[in-house]
Amino acid sequence: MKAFALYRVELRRLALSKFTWIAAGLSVCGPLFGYDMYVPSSTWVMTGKYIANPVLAGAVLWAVLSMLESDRIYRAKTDVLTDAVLSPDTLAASRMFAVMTLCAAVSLLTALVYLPYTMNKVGYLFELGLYAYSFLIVLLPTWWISILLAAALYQITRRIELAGLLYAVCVYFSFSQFFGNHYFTHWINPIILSYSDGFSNASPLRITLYTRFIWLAIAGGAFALSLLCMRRYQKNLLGSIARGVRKIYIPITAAALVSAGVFLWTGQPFVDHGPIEYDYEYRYRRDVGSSNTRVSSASYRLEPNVMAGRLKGRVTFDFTKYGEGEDWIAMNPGYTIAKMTVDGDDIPYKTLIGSEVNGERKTVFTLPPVSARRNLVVEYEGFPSSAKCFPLSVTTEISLEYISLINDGVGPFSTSFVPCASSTWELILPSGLTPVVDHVLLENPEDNHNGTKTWRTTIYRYGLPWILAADFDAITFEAAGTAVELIYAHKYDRNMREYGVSKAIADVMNYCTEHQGKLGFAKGKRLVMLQRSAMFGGGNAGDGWVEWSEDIFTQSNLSDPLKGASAMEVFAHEIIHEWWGGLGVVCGEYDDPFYAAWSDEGLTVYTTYRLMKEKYGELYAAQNYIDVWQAAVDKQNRGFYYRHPEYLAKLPEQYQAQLNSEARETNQYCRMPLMILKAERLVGGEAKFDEILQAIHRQYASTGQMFTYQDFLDACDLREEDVILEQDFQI
Amino acid sequence: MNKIFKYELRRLLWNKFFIGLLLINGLYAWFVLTGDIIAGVAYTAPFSPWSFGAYLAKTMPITVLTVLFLLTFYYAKKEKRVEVLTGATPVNPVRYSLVRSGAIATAFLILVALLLGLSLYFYASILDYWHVTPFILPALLVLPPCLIFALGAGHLAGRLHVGLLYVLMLAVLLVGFGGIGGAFDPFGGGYFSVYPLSLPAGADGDPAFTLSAGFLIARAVYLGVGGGLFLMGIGAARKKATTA
Ligand SMILES: [Zn+2]
Repeated sequence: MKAFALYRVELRRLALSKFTWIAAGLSVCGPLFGYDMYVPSSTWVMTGKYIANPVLAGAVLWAVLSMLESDRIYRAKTDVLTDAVLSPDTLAASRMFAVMTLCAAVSLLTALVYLPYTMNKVGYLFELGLYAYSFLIVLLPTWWISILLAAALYQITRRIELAGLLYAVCVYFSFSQFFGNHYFTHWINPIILSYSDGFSNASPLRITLYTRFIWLAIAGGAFALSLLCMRRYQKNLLGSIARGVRKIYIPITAAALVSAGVFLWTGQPFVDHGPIEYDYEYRYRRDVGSSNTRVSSASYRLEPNVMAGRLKGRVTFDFTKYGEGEDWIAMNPGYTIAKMTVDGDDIPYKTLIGSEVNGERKTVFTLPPVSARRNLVVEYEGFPSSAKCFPLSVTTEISLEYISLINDGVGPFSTSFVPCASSTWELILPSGLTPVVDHVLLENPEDNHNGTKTWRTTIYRYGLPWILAADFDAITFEAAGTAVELIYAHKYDRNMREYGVSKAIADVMNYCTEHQGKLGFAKGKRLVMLQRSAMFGGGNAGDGWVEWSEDIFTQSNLSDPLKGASAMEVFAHEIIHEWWGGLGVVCGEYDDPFYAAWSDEGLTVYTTYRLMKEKYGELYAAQNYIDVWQAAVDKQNRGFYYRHPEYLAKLPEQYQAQLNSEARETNQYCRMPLMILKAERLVGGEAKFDEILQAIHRQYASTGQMFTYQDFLDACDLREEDVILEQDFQI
Repeated sequence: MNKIFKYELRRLLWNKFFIGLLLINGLYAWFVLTGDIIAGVAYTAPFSPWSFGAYLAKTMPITVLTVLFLLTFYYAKKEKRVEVLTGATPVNPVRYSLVRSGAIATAFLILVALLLGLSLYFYASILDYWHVTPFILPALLVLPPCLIFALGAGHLAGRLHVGLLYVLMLAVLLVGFGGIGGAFDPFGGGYFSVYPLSLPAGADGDPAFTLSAGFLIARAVYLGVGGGLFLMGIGAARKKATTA
């Protein structure tokens, strides 16, 4: 009761203090930084730009207020007086709750102040729920954490400048890459790579909520701990602690809060505990040896729990086994096997906990040798995690508005089985979601009359399909003689029509068809273009399909093609991969397909340049393409490790891998396009070069035969030394 | 005198602040080495004098912050009261002031030894590079001006008001991490990582370690101004001694 009365007194005093109002005013301005200066969410997604970034700015101001408030009493030298009447820890705790209440009020005020502007900017994509969640989950807890930590540091050190310095160090470590870039160390700047306008924001909101709980617990624990250090009866730090622990509930609260934070941190379900680096050799290690188990059919049944973000799955393999030997399956480490049966009888299995590599985990078991067909049923359930080596990529998500299940996020697979070339799939999804499986929009679901629908399909290939589900729309149109099916989030419908996206796609396809040849698919096959959530980022292309991150189609990007040149480039680039790469001409080297400078990218980037040159003129193309390539190549040529590869070999592996992949990117995306440009000039200009490309396309497209660098030189009738840039460059 | 020096040194170095700051200096330096310097600056080797200079320049703001922080021990309010006492004892205030500066310089040298040790260990263990001589010149150009300027400006600020020391620390943070660049960069970071870009490549591909006159003058100015401020401080102490 006394504490509550104190709290009210403190709240009243704060509310009447001029200083509080200045701080509150400044805090309301905090989000302004997010529009321009501090932009962690850097995609073109509207809600990212106008909601995510603003709520991520501004927590430091509250730390200043919190420290000055804690210091106020000592500055005024009233501590001797107040200490005599009240216990200093009760006073400090009441004051803290008062500041936190005030902070909540200011965050509500901030939300109201920015509401009209945000609604206006985000336009028809605005959702009040996301806006409210952003303030409740991201902004307010972060402000609270900042306040608690600052007050704790002050109460422990009792020197405002030292507490400020320590606080600055804490902020610095939150921003630095020192502990690697991962969600859980970012206490003041939660990582939100992107929001999504058309799909779902469950992933960033879930993980931010979780990290906020971790840090609220830790900061709350630190604050409780600092109450012990409150100087009592003019004693020093140790003397005060000795007296403080007599109030046994304070150290117990502190310990409980800190251990709750640590427990949440170590038990987090979002990122697995595998090695921090991607293991390129793991596949070969994993797939070694072959089993005697032959699978003749596989059928999967998936039932996502969209509220909890969890997946319940069951797979049935019909198998025969000739001889002995251990079998294994691997899947996402977030899933645990509930049951494994052969013909209905439980069999023993062992999940290798701690063996996570590249976002998958093995379970081993031994199937009995049988000549008649038996069925193995695996039931599993869990929350899919991201791989530690790609902790920030959100490839798997299960939420009310969006489901994305990729690779081992779908369920178990095994190369220890001789697999079957097809599998059947049954998906039980909420009625509002339409699935796209391996880039095919499914049709004709069965309505279960309980808010869910069951979708069935068969895929005719080895391995696991990519499963996406959202409120998808599709439009079909013809471009350059090919049927194109554009699948996108329903929310983007207006953008797609207003900005004539299908026309822009047709432009790229017409250009490539005219200059480089007809698309090489089998007749009647559609080219599928799929829009995916911005969490996924960038673009991708393959066998008859192209996919982009949603932000290619946002207003801020579409309304200004010149400003968004790099996004337009992604848009065109991925379509062009249907000519160079995918089902078109596969460019590469046999011996080193990954690191070779000659790859699909060279001719794709070159063609993008030609397209932009036609669209926006020679000057634009020179500035945005040729000059950019040249600058990157010059930079690479000057690089110390490029000049001295003997030192590169001495570096730690992680750093070597980083430099190698940088070099690969420059070679494939900049050096090779420059060399192709040189070849174009040597063969006598664009028209002549287009003829050569057309001939190549006729000969190689859709054959599956690799088109090597030597093939390219032969087609141009050039020698290696003709095309080489003046530097001593070796392919 | 020796006794007072030992006492001051012990008081300055043997406490949780200095040990904590030493740790922060070391962590930060290792962070700079493995994060930035490993790539080399301006396309030069990570062990070029340019990269080494840039390393020192990048770590100096934290080291100078530490020095300024240690200075606040002398100018804090309580200390002022003690000063009244020491002023009354027969110790010569000029010598006392020198002793204290010597103690701070020792602290600086300990920090620098840590930075140098870490970098040499880094070069030897990771890049198998064992030479020391190329690093002497950049070290001489970066370290003494930083120390002398910090001491001079710090004493001046502290004498006027202890709060000014914190303002000075803020300025160091802003200049050190915001970066001025060019020859007049007080820590030289901007200079070491930009100037070599304008030089022709030498025989091994790295530009030779030749410095512009502007930079040398700037270093001399920082050293001179810092020294001047420092002597002014000594002068003030002498005045106090004669009036006391
Ligand atoms: Zn590409």
